[in-house]
Amino acid sequence: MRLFKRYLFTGSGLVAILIGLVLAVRLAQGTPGGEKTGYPKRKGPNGAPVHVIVYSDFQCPACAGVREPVEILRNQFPDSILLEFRHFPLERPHRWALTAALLTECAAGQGKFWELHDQIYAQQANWANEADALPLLVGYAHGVGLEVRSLERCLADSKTLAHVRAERAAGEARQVRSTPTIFINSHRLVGAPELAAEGRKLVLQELGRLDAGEEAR
Amino acid sequence: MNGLALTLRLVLGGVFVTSGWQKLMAPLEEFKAVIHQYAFLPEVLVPAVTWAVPWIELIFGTFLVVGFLTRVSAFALASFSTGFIAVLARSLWLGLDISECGCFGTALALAPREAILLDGGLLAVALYLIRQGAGPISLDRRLHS
Repeated sequence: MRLFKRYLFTGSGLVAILIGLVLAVRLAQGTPGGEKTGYPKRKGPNGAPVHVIVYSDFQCPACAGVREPVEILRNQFPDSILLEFRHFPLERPHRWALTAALLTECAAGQGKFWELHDQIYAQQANWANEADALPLLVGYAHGVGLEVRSLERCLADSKTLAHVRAERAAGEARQVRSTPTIFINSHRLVGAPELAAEGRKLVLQELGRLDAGEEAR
Repeated sequence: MNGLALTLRLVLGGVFVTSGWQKLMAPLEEFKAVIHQYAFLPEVLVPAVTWAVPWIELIFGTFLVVGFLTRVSAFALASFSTGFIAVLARSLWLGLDISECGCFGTALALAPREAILLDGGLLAVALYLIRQGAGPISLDRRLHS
């Protein structure tokens, strides 16, 4: 009996220490930092009640797959969703992710972000495994009508890289760990299957919550 | 031999502590997405498993490191390793499109085949500890003294 009590006391103590440690470190990780972004990369009505933010990497296959559920959601709620893209290039596993991010950031500066975004994802299988994907990526940029001199200036400008890095840092501050990570207002989803399964429900939930808030006023 | 038990306890416990800790430090949705990609659980169980697995890994991993309830902890982690092997093997059998096992959050990327090898090694270590017990420098030994 005495041994049982010793074990019970020691086990409870160890578990309590672990719970305390996990909670303390999670609290110390803090709240999301600033929301610095580069050029706006948005689609949908500006005052839309539901803000969908997609943290994405151009070389990640799962990110190419998230476009479909995102578009289905936008079609279901055309007046209610403001879609925003944010860069989250995973440079270690994806050699060309940063280059693609820089090109699309420059495209955003010329108002052609979504055209290049769609083209780069649509062609992902053709360039992602190339030893030198740069000519292909630049070709897509020219193909959507980016002005060459401006593009070269933009790529050479350290601000472009700073924009991409700032977006990634904002994602890290929100504890984005993998791509694609999608936020529907404050709700987090990871991966295209999660968005396909949960997206509609969460948008309806957000719209319901906002309606209830307005009625209460 | 006793020194071996201590070393293996630290290795096995350390691996599971790392795995559980990484998952607990990330948003829950990350691990939920990992579970979904294996498509083996009824939807109703996913939230509970998402929550429980990292804590069980962390708690029993820590128990092993400090040599507390060593045989019970080793049995629990052997069961986990067996379960992981089964789920990973099933994903390979079904040809599921999983490039990274998701075992260690974002800390370590392992392909399912590599993860099966790792889990096989961990299972062998756990079985050894079930048979051998804690070895030196353990809470079990201290509590029994």
